[in-house]
Amino acid sequence: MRRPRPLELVQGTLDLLVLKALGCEPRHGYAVARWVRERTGGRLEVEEGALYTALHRLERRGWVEAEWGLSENNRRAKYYALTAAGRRQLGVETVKWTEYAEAVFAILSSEEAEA
Amino acid sequence: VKLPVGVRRLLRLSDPDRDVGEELAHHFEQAIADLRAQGLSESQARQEAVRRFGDVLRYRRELAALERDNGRRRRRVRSVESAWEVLKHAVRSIMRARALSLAIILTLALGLGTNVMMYALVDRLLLSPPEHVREPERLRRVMIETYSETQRVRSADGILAGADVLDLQGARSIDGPAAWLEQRFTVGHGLAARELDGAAVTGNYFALLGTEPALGRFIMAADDAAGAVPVAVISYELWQTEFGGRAEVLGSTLDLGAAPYTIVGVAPPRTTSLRLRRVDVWLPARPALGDNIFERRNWYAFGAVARLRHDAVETSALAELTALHLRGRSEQVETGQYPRDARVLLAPLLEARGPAAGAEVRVAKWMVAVSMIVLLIAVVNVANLMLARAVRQGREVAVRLALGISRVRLVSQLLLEGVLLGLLGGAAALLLAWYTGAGLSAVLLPDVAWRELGWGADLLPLTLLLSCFAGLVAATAAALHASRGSPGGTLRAARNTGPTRSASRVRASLALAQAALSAILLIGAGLFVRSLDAVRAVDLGIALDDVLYINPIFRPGTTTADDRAALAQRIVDELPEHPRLLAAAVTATPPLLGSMNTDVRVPGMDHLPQAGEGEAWMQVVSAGYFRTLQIPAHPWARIRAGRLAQCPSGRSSSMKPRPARCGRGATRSASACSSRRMQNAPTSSASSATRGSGASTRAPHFSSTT
Repeated sequence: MRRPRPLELVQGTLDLLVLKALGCEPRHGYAVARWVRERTGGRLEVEEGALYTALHRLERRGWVEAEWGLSENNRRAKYYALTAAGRRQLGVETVKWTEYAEAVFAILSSEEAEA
Repeated sequence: VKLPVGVRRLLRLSDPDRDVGEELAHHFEQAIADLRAQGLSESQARQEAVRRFGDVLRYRRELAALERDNGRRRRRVRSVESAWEVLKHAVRSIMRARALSLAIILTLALGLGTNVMMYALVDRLLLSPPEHVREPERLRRVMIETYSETQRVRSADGILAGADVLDLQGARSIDGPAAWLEQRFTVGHGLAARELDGAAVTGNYFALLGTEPALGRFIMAADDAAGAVPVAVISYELWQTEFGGRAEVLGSTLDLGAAPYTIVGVAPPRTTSLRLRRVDVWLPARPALGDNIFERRNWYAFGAVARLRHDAVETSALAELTALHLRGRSEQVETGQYPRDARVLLAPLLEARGPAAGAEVRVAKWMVAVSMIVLLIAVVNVANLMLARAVRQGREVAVRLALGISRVRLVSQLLLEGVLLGLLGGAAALLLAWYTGAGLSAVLLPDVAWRELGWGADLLPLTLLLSCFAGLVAATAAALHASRGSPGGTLRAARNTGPTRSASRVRASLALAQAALSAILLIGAGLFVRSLDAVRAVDLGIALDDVLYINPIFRPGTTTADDRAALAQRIVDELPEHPRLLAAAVTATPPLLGSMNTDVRVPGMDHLPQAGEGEAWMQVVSAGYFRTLQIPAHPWARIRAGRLAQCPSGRSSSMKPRPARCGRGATRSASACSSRRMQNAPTSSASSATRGSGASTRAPHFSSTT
């Protein structure tokens, strides 16, 4: 099967993706990477190392908190969870991105109409 | 510095490199397992996992750096959270046992409150200089030290004669001295007349102290000249209460003496005398006391203060001042009437720092000791209460321990509880001290002008510190109890609900300590009562119970010596006619309070045997004195009407020849007791009963018996 050429990540989207990944439940780093890959069907090119730096950066900003726990196969793993501030941030970013995307999309579709 | 892993674990420090390594190891393990599940070989899976991850080494470095920050942050948050938890638990525990907590707070408040009050007292007497004094560390009280042959000690005296003050004013090593005399003045006439605490000061007094007036100006050198227009400076407090704080007070007059005193200035708030006595009005010395007041060498009245110049060395200053003093007294030194080894001393500004500190310092020191014992008792009592509760809560503690709460946390919670209770006790103590402190001080030491308890620089931190410390110490026993014993053991022991043996031992020793401390206090109080009783039981040989003492205060300059003598005569003549009065007599100083001593020479007899008690104390009295005070007449102690004779008074009844003593109450010649001298007693203003002013030759006072 031919893999479609992965899209490069637009600046600043990585944090949003990570926040969203933690939106439902606390996850460890690998689970976040797997969730992103599964959700995008591998269409976004995200280095998994960058996901980890994003997680740590978000922790420093107080949007995510980390705690060591046991993974599904009984291994010690570091779990990340949204803080209250993180959840607020996720909401803000989501609205911002949706508006942004709609605006861009509106422009693109109007071009189509002229043509 | 990198600590070994074991130590770091123990200290709950994380290792960022190790943490990142572990996290990434988990990642790759999972990734490879997933990829192998999709059918890749081990090496293919590994390759793919690394490709997806990116530059492992670079990310690892970045992550370690981020983790270092985050680790620090996590620790901070955790410690704040656990501190908050501990605090919440401590507060809950205090609130749950409200009655007990209240008892503890009140006990601590009592212990802390007495100490806060005592601190205010000691601060006033010993620590803080009088207010509104510039560079107090260079100010010195001028004292004169002489050797007392009878007591075989050198003794210092801060009460100087006016001429002695003047002698020292030329000194190069000091500024001043300035002199002051505290005494009461009468203001107003008739029913409106009342007494004010006052001070007569030299013209350089305020300038020397560096005090700035709140309004107007202070007394200056020109005001203290012979024949100057009488002016007065009033206290801020008098200005507020009597003059409503109005600026027009300047130029108004005080009806104090023969001529009205014009108010020229207002002192700043809380200005006291240098002996911390209350002063309402300051008058220049010469107009108030007489123009010749600084020529007198036999009237010991003034406190003197000098400012050491910046370039002066104290030892050479002392030498210079002593030389000046002896030069001024040279005539008397040569005739042997004044000790040639007299020395000038420069003493600390605060009287309580000695030498020759008053009884109030001893009282203060005793009170501090007593209040510390009270605090100790309070702390021991609270420790006992807290321990009792800890024992009662043993089961709960055991459950919490079994649930995995750390011992450190348990102990810190108990200690924090102690500190909180201590702080609450401290707050109550401040309230207590605020409402009762000044009153208590005034009862203990009535002469000192007590300030309101200030929330000043050091009282609050001191209370805070003392409260925390008391609470901490009180909680220690309970904390120690909690830190011992295993959860299982405690649970088992708790089932029989009896306290553990060690806890009962501690409680017993606490109770013992409390009892011992209380016993010390009780014994002290008992001894004090016994001493008081012994003092009251001393047979003074005179009956004072029914004696009235009349001490007229004359206005400066309104009466002559003859007027005063005439008044005295009238009182003595007319009073016994009153149906309820038996007898009346004139005396120079109040019985047992003031006294004079002098050199006694009997013509034809050079030496009288020296008495054990020493000096010849002298009282100047009129006929009827012995009858008035009901002193059994001694064959030779008979005074005929119209003539005054000298008689022993006070403790000593023997006389001895010796050089005149310099110091409080000393007069210089035997003629001081002649009737002529008696009637020429110095300015009336010296007749006030200002204790310790040393006015030895006073205007006549009157005694009468009901």
